Amino acid sequence: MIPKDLSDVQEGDVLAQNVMDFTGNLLVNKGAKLTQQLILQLQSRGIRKVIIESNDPEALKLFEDQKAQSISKIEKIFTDFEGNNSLMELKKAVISYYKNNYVDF
Amino acid sequence: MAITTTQLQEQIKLVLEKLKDIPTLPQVYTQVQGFLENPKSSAKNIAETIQSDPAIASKVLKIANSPFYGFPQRITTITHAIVVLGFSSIKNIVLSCSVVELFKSVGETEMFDYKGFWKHCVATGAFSKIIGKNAGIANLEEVFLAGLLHDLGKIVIFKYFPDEAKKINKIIAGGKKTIGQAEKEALGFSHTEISTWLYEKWNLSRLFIEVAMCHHNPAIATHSRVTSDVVHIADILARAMGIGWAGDHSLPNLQESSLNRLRIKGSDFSRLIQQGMAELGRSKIFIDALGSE
Ligand SMILES: [Fe+2]
Ligand SMILES: [Fe+2]
Repeated sequence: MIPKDLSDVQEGDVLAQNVMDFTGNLLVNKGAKLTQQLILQLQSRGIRKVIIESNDPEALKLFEDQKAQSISKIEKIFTDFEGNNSLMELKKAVISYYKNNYVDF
Repeated sequence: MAITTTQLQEQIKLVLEKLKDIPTLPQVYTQVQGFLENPKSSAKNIAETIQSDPAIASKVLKIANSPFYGFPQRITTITHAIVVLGFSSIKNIVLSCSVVELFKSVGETEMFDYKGFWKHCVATGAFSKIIGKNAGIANLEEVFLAGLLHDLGKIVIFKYFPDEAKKINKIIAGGKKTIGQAEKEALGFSHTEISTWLYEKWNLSRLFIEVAMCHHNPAIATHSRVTSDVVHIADILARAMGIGWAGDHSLPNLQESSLNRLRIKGSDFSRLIQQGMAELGRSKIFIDALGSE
């Protein structure tokens, strides 16, 4: 899973995350294979960046490292709240989000 | 003898009234607010006022054209924006732009990561909008703003109380205390009281004042309980996601009563996070606005 500018993607790249338009409407589901036509359509909808599946070991390592770093930061935030059920559920939800999504904030 | 809330408020006022050049909102906001209270004002009056402040005017257009509003057609002039979005939205946009400008002027301080803090504000706004939507609140723009504005008192402390700010940073470095606790130890009061004082000075609506005052303890809210509950949970979600810098390495107390009143169960968190992060993506313009001219 790596972010890529739409101008750099190639036909056959697989979307690793849903693509939404400006208003938040779903344009393409994750898992879709990019075709030339789809790339042009997304460009015309003002999409500039997409998250795609990647086999590039360097890119993958970067993503895995970033994920591990975020998750250890999250673990730290929650260390003192082991006894709080709601917060433990929240922690679970946050970690699962980081495992399945690319976060760039 | 225990200090009562009123006594505390009076003490805080004494301290704060001594501050020189306290942050003010740009004149354009006050003027727009004045026009909106006057039934005789026209879109033209308001447009001219906004245009008199080019920094604000260009931001208003950027935000009006951003995914945050998601209008399909391009809005090219302030007058056009007023017609399409309406007076109340324009006032809200001017307020958020004014806060960005304010951040730029008072933000820079070595002791506080103000860009990270701004991210915390925007993320809290985005999560507030989603939680507010789930709670059935109609004016989601206002909920976003209430979230955006919930913590501004923090920046006042770091800018205007440098000695106390050093103490606060020392306490926080220990890792266990929240910024609110550290502020109380170092100053005797916290960002919630400062924001309340500031927003009263700025003449903001009661909703923003109360949310700033009650977001760590919404049970004491009388006028805007639901929005206070919403921002309380949004603040914790934004921190839990590790987005931005809220000022400490811990989490404030999660009020179960807020979860109950909003009918949020542990199993809802996943969905709220998904939706909140998508909303944050649409709100990116606010994060970018801090870096642009
Ligand atoms: Fe706070
Ligand atoms: Fe906060």
